[in-house]
Amino acid sequence: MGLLTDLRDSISRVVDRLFSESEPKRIGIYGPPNAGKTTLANRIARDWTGDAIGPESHIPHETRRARRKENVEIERDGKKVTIDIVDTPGVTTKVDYKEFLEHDMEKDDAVRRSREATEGVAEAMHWLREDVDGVIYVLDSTKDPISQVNTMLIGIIESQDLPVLIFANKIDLEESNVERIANAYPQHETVELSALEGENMDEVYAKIAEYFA
Amino acid sequence: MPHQCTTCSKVFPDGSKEMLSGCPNCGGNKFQFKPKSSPGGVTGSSDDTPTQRGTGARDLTSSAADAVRERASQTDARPDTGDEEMTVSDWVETKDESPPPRETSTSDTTTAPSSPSSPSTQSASSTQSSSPSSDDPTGGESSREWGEWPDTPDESSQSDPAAASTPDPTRTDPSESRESKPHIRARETDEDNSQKSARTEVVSPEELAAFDAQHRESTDHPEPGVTPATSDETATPPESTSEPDTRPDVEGTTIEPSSDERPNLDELREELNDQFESIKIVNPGQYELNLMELYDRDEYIISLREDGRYVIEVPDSWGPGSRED
Repeated sequence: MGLLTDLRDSISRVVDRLFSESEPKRIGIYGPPNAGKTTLANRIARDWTGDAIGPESHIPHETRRARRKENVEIERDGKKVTIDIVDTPGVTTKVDYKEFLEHDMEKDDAVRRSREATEGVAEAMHWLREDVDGVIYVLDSTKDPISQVNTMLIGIIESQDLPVLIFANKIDLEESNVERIANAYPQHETVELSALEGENMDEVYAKIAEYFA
Repeated sequence: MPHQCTTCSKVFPDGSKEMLSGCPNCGGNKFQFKPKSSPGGVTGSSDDTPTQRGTGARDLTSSAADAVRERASQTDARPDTGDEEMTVSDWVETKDESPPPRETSTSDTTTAPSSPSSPSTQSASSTQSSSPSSDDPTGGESSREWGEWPDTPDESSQSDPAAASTPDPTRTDPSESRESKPHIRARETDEDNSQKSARTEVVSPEELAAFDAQHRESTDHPEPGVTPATSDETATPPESTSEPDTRPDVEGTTIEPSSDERPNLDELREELNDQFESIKIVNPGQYELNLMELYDRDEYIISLREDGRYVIEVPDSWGPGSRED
């Protein structure tokens, strides 16, 4: 069964590619740790393919390797785009195992997680350089959007001339402040959403179809 | 033997970037790092030639100083972003070309205006030994709040040796001396006590003075904490011959800046960080990442072990392969 499914999938993929105008664009979901990148990636993947991409967690650095979901076909307002979604580890300039100890983790596990997270950031940066065609930059709208990491990453993305959408996530939370994000990065379009609750996903998909088509 | 391929045991010299594209012998990308420093040779640092790299603590101090100076200059140029464009080769070249930093501080010691490094060397090495500031790299870090790279407490603590010494050994700019003077003075007074106690356990002031008298016509510093300066041309300086033999234990503690149980690892990390500064291993499980370096560079360390082993992910194993799978 599995084999047949695989075969069918790969055939349909080939057919899709034959008929699509171009290769699927690889869209990297970037942002600081705990911004909700994986929740968003899972939401998109579930909505359009039925599958999830990876486990979500409130503990930072749950995603420590970049994960992909290929051929996610999104259609909105007559626009159709096929993308590969890459969910990347949260980018940060410092990783400290002590952060994980607060989440009832043993020290050894915390140290290992810390190391993996560091490797994950390195991997994410590498992907950014060579392997993505566009970026969805996810920010936690309850937090100050101006940070060294955000400024640097968005600067890099701009220098690459990559199309970028800024997603102000977690608008379901009371402290959410989308305006702060829009003001911090006025050169880019900011889309508010709650990936967890599925709020404003219509606009999210419309923007994805528009920007990455 | 700084770097060694864990597969075929091929050894790469310190600062080599040969292995950054994989081991040329076997193609392996896992290496281990073994610092070449030998504790015994450490304080023979009333120094050799400016371009020659020393060993042990001297090397460590100078590389730390270089690192801080480099960071500082980069920070000046690009204050916020941590935007660093150095490659490994640049880094290594810079290190090789830059003269040992501590020598200028001798311009403070009016009694030995043209002499090289002794006083400052000692102040630098004692910084790492028993002075209160020796706790900074670890104690401070383990409990500190994370600041913004590169202005971390860790680096500022590293900057002490560097701050006590200005880059150009030949420069005797009075204004510069004046600037650094109070700082150095303060350090010297702070550290003299610990230096004395450390030294008197092994070598008495009288012994040193007598020894110095044999080698120098004028001995201005009978005090052990300030060993008489010797010029580069002078044959083997007294310190380098006598001290390693007489005080190996003292040196053993001198290089031990952080975690008590693993003295050598810190030294090792320091050197590793200097050579691959895109990821700085502050302590086990604590890392600082230079995003621009990670972004700019083809190769990077993908796997960090706590015992000095690391895996370098090389470009070939990325790109096409990762796109196809």
